[in-house]
Amino acid sequence: MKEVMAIIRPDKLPETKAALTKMGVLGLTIMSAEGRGKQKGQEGAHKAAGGMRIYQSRVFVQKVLLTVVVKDTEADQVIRKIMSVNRTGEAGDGKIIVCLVDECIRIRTGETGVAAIS
Amino acid sequence: MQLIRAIVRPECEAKIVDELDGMGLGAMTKISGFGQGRQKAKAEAPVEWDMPLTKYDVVPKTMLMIVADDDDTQMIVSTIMKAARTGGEGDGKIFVTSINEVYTVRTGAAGI
Repeated sequence: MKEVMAIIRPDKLPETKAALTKMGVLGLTIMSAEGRGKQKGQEGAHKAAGGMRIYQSRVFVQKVLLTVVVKDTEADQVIRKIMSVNRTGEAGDGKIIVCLVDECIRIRTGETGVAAIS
Repeated sequence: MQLIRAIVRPECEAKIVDELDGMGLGAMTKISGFGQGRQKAKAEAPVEWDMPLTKYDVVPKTMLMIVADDDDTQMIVSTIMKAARTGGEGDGKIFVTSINEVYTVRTGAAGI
């Protein structure tokens, strides 16, 4: 199993959710988060004229952290889908982090492993 | 690559961000949360206040998520540790997890 953590724009969340539902990925966790990247929270800062950059310390942009745990075989498809839905081409589209999950348990039944997420 | 998750005092966040910015590693995600440690969220008031020991269910915390190259991980962890340390109970924890893949949504490229 793989945990796919996507840090995305909040306004792209409904679209992403709809796309994942269509793929059959129904279980997901959404957390409100704030983030900053190479541009230090200044969206469009890379475009500033003449290399000038308005520097403001400690700026965070509102983001959504979307977490899904999927089977190894589905992970690639899910990642591609999230990327294609969320791509605007501007800085601040977000990152997707993938890590391996050793164990997963459904609390209601006590099922473990892949059975707990399918 | 490693995913560093640091659960720190909210009031220490600004200092950590500034220190990491200075190293050129200012990219991170921040989530507010609540937690308790082994001390069950007690708060010690300064002695001169002459107040009884206050206990809370949970105390507010901030979680910073940073993805770093293996080489940078140790440096980032020690920077956070230095900036977030007050010496009192409740300074927080840092968790480090190995991750396989990272993608940038804008370009679709793998890697940080």
